[in-house]
Order: sequence, then structure tokens, then C-alpha cells
Amino acid sequence: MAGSSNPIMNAVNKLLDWIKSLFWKEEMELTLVGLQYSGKTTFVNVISSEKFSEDMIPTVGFNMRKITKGNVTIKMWDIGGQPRFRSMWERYCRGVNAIVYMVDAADKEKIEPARNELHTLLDKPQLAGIPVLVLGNKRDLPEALDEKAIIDQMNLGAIQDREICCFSISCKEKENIDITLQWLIGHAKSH
Amino acid sequence: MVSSHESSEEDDERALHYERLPYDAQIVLDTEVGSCIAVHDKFILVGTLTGSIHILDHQGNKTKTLTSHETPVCHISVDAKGEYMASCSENGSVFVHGTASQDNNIAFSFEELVHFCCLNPRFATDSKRSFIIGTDKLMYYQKNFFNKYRMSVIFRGEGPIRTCSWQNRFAAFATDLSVIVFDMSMCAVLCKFRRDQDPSLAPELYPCHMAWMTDRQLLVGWADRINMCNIKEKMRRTHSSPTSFYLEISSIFTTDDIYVCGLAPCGSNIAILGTEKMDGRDNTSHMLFQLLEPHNKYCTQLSSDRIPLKMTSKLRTDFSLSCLTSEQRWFILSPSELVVARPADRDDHIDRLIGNEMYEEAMQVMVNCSSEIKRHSLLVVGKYYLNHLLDTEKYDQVGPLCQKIFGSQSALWEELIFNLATRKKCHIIVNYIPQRKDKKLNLQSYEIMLNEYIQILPAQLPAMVKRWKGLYDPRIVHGAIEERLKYAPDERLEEAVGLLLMYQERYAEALNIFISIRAAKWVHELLRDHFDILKDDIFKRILELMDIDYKEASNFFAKHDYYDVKEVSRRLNDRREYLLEYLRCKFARKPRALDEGDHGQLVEYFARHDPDSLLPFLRKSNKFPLERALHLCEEQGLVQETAFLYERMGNHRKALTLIVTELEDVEQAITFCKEQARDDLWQILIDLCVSRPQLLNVLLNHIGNYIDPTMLIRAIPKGLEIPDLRDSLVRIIHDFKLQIALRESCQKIILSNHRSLFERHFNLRRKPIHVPADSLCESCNRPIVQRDATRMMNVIAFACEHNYHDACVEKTDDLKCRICFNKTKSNFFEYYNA
Repeated sequence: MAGSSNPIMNAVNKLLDWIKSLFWKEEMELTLVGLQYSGKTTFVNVISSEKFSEDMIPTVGFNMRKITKGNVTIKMWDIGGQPRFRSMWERYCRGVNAIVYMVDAADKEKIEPARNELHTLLDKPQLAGIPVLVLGNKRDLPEALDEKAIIDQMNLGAIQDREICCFSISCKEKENIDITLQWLIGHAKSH
Repeated sequence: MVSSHESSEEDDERALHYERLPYDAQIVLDTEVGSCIAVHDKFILVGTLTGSIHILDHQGNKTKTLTSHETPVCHISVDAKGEYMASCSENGSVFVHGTASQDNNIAFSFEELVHFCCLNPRFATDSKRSFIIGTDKLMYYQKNFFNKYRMSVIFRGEGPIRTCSWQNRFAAFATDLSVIVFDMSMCAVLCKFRRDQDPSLAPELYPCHMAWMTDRQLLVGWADRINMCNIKEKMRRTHSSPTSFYLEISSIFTTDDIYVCGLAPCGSNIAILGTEKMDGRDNTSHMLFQLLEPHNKYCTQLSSDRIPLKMTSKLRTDFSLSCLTSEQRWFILSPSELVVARPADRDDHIDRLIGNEMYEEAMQVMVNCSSEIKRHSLLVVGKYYLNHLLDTEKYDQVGPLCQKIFGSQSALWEELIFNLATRKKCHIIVNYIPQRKDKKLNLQSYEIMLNEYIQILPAQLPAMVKRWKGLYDPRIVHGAIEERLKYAPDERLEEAVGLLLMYQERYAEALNIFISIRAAKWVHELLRDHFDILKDDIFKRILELMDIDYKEASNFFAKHDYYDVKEVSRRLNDRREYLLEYLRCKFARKPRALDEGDHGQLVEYFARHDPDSLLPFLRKSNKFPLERALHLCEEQGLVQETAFLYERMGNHRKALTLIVTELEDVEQAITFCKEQARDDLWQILIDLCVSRPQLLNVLLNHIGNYIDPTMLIRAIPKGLEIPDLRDSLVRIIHDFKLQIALRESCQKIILSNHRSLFERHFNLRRKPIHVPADSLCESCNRPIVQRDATRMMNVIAFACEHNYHDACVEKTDDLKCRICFNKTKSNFFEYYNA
């Protein structure tokens, strides 16, 4: 291919690339973790297709999803929450733009293991500095904790080395999904 | 985990750890035949002969299966971000599509055999979305400006192109004859070099394997020959001219004992999968995995392992090696296995220790290196150790171990107790189990353990019953003991029954048992805590209680006023020693509760058996018959007590005589005289002593303090020899002088005091009395000093600065200031002292 080795052609191609990049989309990569039955896969379904389904099967391993919202393409790693998958969380959180940590706000017994798992995860040196969004799902249930209680019971105040945010959402009623997406898109990196 | 048992046969610790990827990965390869593999740091792609591609995570869980191909998958490629993959199949179909989404799907179909379809590592971000397909020519695909793919053949003419390896700017391809290295940004051949192996090693069986060590370092392996090539920049003539590169082979060596089936980097070293070279022939019965350190013309073997897992295939080309460079994980695929090799860590060490039944060491590693251990939990390893200890009957270590691993998790303890109960070894852990009110096990656990004590350790049962009070159901334990007692009576068991009855608040029954087994300690504890309930029961059994320990029993009955002295005495009448002990205790606590008869009995008892206690008793008591007591004391020769009794009867003279003549105790006699304060007694004392020169000097020594010593000295008859008289006299004179000196000193003090006070008084009297011009009479409130001399009146001025007109005060001899007169005396002194 003689043409492409031509330096002039190369320069022209580079220029075209640059013009293309003006219309290019932003792109981001997220990892979704949290204990089992907290609603991670449901959340992915809700933000991708806006469909809510009560009966989901537990995720085995991980799901890969790519969603386009406006001009942002979000790539999501949705990781299984059962204990045997938790050792993989770190692998999938490496190098992403943000970690989304899903908590079942209506299951008081699981708050403590959820807190321990989150802090163990964030202690990994390879994940230093990655922003974390904690989502308290199932706020439609009467016994669900609000943001303040989640921040308090998850001991989020102790996390000082990174940006951390907490929302209370409901995938079923689609409450606060919009602000969650806004936050996520705000963390996309221009590509 | 799977490997731990298989690898335990070898004792030496491996530097690398091998295990089959479990879960779905194993299931998939049990049912299908693996043909190719691609590894990304977030997932693994495995292609099979049936044409499906499985996406697995690094634990082996299957996420997705793609079934686009209908014939065996030859090659899979994935881009660096893991967003896109390309695959090709034997029937010539090629697919390129997203791993997460279905956009940018491309499908081709070729007539000829497609060996690979290799994506640009930067495919996801590359605007040209370039990739290469290898058949018997090398086809480079890239999109043009109008988003259409354009193909160009960049190499052909050497037969099929078997493999490719693309790392950033450079890509390498191999045919059966040579290796071609491309600079992909320029799409130009950088270098091409030929295979130089023994021709008997056919390239079909010993194809070329390539791997990039870094972006600029390529590893090429043919059969037993390894080349390491570095790509270097050429010197540029001018700054404007583009950089160009050349290839330099930095090292060439032949392996000692391995034919390459796969190559991968391991830091700056080389990881090789291969078959064993034996007598120049290929031995495919075992796959080898070696780490080599490359040098210029040779290599150093760092490690060489026969993969300790069974690999079924015998065909060497069925094996392939991939590497996750960032993590040092190597993936070895055979038709029916996917094995992961990685540097061994602490967890593997523990696996090995457990496999070799070195549980104690495993526990130590767990405790010492807890931060490095990810897979094992203290509890699981501890349980292995525990079972080992139980199997080898090393029971003494069970308790401390379980405390360490169980903590206060009651379910685990309960399980252990059930287990130990079958061996009758529960008692080895009693000091370690949770037994606090807030951290306890279920009732059955304690009951099981107590049952063991009932059966084999009755001696410790009462202590355990007491220690675990409230942690078990006393009725159940009681029942168990009763059952046991039917066969073999045992006092300790009875004692435990007593305690259990006590805890069931059946105090009377408990008391019966304690009395019957003579357990004084428990009887008195019971009586102390539940006196109101038991006070009548115990009185009925007073003699039995006395039999157990009459001193403590006497004390008990004396302590409680509930029991009438007469009643108790009547009951104890037959047992004199009990009665006297009781009376004595009662007297010590409450003398008034005893009547004269009791006192008489006590006097007699003391006089005969305990003379030392008699005198204190006599001093305290006021009810005993004096005559009888005197008689007893004289009979027993108790002089001190006799003297006391005489004194008590008013016969001081007799008492004094006894003290001096019998006891010859002058000091006591002096004390006696002093207490009575009667001069005639002193005279008697002097008379008694004069006839006893040896007493006289003691008297001389002391008497000076109380009476005039001359009285004594005069009474000494002439010519009487007194031992140590001189010292005594000196003493007397010395005392006397001391008296004189004391008086003189006192006089001096008084005189000087007098003098100072007088001086003060004199000064006070000399003080002027100040009468200011505007002062008023305290009585009529008119000015004292008048300007008009004709109206002048006499004035009386007091030292207290109050002034009066002469006419305004009543004239008496004892004239006083009317204001100050009413003030108290202390005020006067205040004023005076100022």
C-alpha cells in the first residue's frame, strides 16, 4: 500500500481524524459491584432499556453492556455479587472511570457486609483515586434507608482519598435514575 | 484448589502454581474440544471445534457463548480495551464484532483456509478500524474516509501464513519458511528472516511461535531454537525525515530439553510451554513449562515443571499458551483442559501444607502472614487442624485452637461439643468455651458437658455445676445425676445434687443433702442466703449440724437471736462441749442474753479447760456467782484471777497482798493502787514491799511519780539490805532534781510573761485620747467643742474614741462608755489587742 506510507497522506489523514474527533462522542467505562440481590443487573436494564423486571436471575461472573446516552457511550461491567465472585471485583474495577457500588437499602442485615466489602475493595492500592458512587437501591420499599442513613451506616465519611457520592434510588419506580446518570456522565472522559 | 491434592505428591515447593480453571470452564471443555484461546485482563475467550466461542471470566464462569461459526474456530483476537473481538473458522468465515454490543459487526467469507484474523490492538479507538486476515496471503483491512473497508494485500508468496502477533506499532507474521516483521503505521516490511532448523522437524508439527516481550522486543521460537529480536531506530539524517527502524537479533539459543509449543514473556525472562526432548525425539506424554533467562548465545533455566495436571492430548500442536502480561498469569489450553499457571503465593503454600498434613505449620502461616492470604480463612484451616488433632488424639491443643478460630461463634462450639461428647472429651475445652451470660452456648451444650462430668469426673462436678449456674437447666442435670446415683453412690454427685436443688430453690431438700454428706461449707452458705426459709428446719437438726463442725455451728446459732438461748441449751444439754462452745460464742456476741447459771457454767469451763480466757471473761461478765468462782480459782491456783475476784468483792487488801506476795508483780500492784486511789493501799503496798528487798527497788523506781518517796524511804528499816539500792536512789534524786528544774523553768516563763503584759498595759495607758473638733457627744448629739468659751462644758473622753458631755453621763465610780459597754467581751479583747 504505497499511498499510506506517503508522509503527506499521513498528515492529511491525521487532520481528518482531528476533524472527526470534533463530532466524536465521549466514552466512559464503569464497573458495577455490590452484594447479591442489590439490583445491579436491574439497574443496567433500567438505564439501558428503561425496562424493570421483578424476577432476575443472579449474575454469574459478569455482564458486559454498552449504552449510549446522548453523546456519551457508557461501557459497563456488571459483576456478580455472590461471595465467590467478590474476589474478582478488584480486577474489573481497575482503570475504570467510576465504580458504582449498589446497596440494598431495604435489607438492614446486609448493610454491614456491604460496608465491609466496600471498604475492603477501596483499600486495594490499584483502585486508588477512582471515584465511587454508592447507590441505595429499593427506596420504594418502606423500610429503606435514606441517603443520610446509608452514608452513616456505610461509613462513607471515612473515605477521604477519592470523590465519593451517594444517591438513594429506586429502579422499580425509576426514582433518581436521572441524577445518577447525570453524575455518571459528568465523570466521562473526553476521548 | 483442585490441584492441591494432585500436586501434594511432590514435597518440594514449586515456584509456580498450576490449576485447572474451574466452574464453567471445566464443564465447557468436558463437553467440547478447545481449539484456541484469547486472553484479556477482564475475560477469557475460548474457541472450540464445534464453532462456539465462550466468554469466561477469570474464575471460569461463563458469561456468554457466541455461536456464529459452524466449523472449528481457528483463531480469536481481542483488542486491548476488550471491546471488540475477531474470530475465524475453518470454513473461511470471519467475524469482527463488539464484545459488549453488536455494533460494527463485520462478516467475511473466504474460499480458502483462514489461519487468523488479527485486530489492531487499538481497534476500539482507531478510526480506521484496521485488522489483518491471514490466508496464503496477508490481507490488511482498513476503513477509508467514507467509512468503507478497503483491503490491500501486504504480503504473499510463501505459502500459508500461519501465525501473527500484533503489538502497537509492529506486527510479526510467520509462514512455514520465515518470519516477517511489519511496521504497521507505515504498512511496510521491516525485516524478514528465515527459519534455520533441522529440516526433519517439520514446520507442520513444529510451527513458529511468537510473542512480544515489549513493544520493541519480539520472541520467536521454532522447535528448539529461540530468537530474541529488538527493533531499533535508525539514525535519522535530518529532523524532517520520518523515523525508520531496523531489527537486531539480540540472542539466539537452542533449548536443552524442550520443543516449543508456546512462548510468553515473564518479566524479562521467557516462559515456554513445550514437550520434552528425549534422545532427540519428542516425548508428548508430559507437557513442560519452563522459565528461562535469555543470554546472548545460551539461556539459564530458572525453573522447569512437568505440568502436574493430566493433559489428555498427545498431539503437540493441540496445545497453546497465552499470557496476561500485567499479572503473570499464563493460560495453557489443550483440547480438554484450560490450566492457569501463576507464581505460587501464600495460599498455595497453605494448600501444600494442608495436603502434607502439616496443619500446625499451616495455622502458623495463617496467623503470621494473614495480610497476604486471600483464599483461605482461619476458620477453614483451623478446622483441618482441629480434625487432625482429634484424629491423633492430641486433645490438649484443642481448646486454645478453637478459642482462636471459633471466637464466640456459638454454633461452631456447639458442633464441637457434640463431637467431643462422643469421645467423652468435653472437659478438655471447658476453660475455653464461651460461658459468660452475654456470650453463651445453648443449654444442651452445657448439659452434655455436665453429663460427661457425671459419668467420668464426678469429683469436679460440684465446681462445674456452680460455675455454669444459669447456663443449663438444673432439672435435667439433676435427673441425670439421680440416674447415675442408682448405680454408684458418690458423695460429690450428692453434693452436686444439693447445689442443683439449691438453684431450683428447693432449699430444705438441699439442706438435707448437705447435712447428710457433711458439707459444712454449702450448709452455711445455704443458711446465710436463705435463713428465713431454713431457720426452723436447721434447728431441728442442730445436733447433726454440730456434729459436722461444732465451732461454726455454735457461731451460727449464737449469731442469730432468733434462737432462744434456753431452747438451744436444752437441746445441747447432752453434749457438754457443744453447749459450752455455744455459750461461749453467745457470750462473745451478746453477754446479756445468758443467765447466771450459764455464766456459772462458763466460769467453771474456763477455770478447768481454758484458764487464759477466764480473766477476760470475768472482766466482762457481771452475772457469775462470785463465791463459787473464787473457790474454783483458788482450787485451780489461778492467782491473777483470784486477785481480780477479791478486788471485785471489795477486799482490796487481800487482792493487793496476793499480787505482791504470790505474783511478786510490783508494777501491777502500783497500777492497782493507782486505780483505787486510796492512800492506805499505798501504805499497805509499802509495808508489804519493805519485807521483800527484791521488790523494794522496783517500787523505789516507780513510786516517786505517784507519792512522796520519803514516805517509803522512812519506812525502810535500818540495816535492811536492798539490792541495787544505789541505782534506785540515784533515780529518785534524779527524778527530784527534774521536778525542781521544771518548777524553776515555769517560774521564769511566768515572770517574763508578766513583764511583757505589764509593759503593754503601761503603753496603753500612755496613749493620748484624740478629740476632734467636730466630734459630737454620743449621748446628746451636740458638739463637744464649743466656740463660745462661755458655753464650754466638761468633757469625758474614752479611749474607744467615744466622747460625752460631763453632764450627759451618769456619774458613777465605775464609769464606762455607754456604747462599748454593751459589746461582748471578745470585742473588747479585739480592741485591746489592736
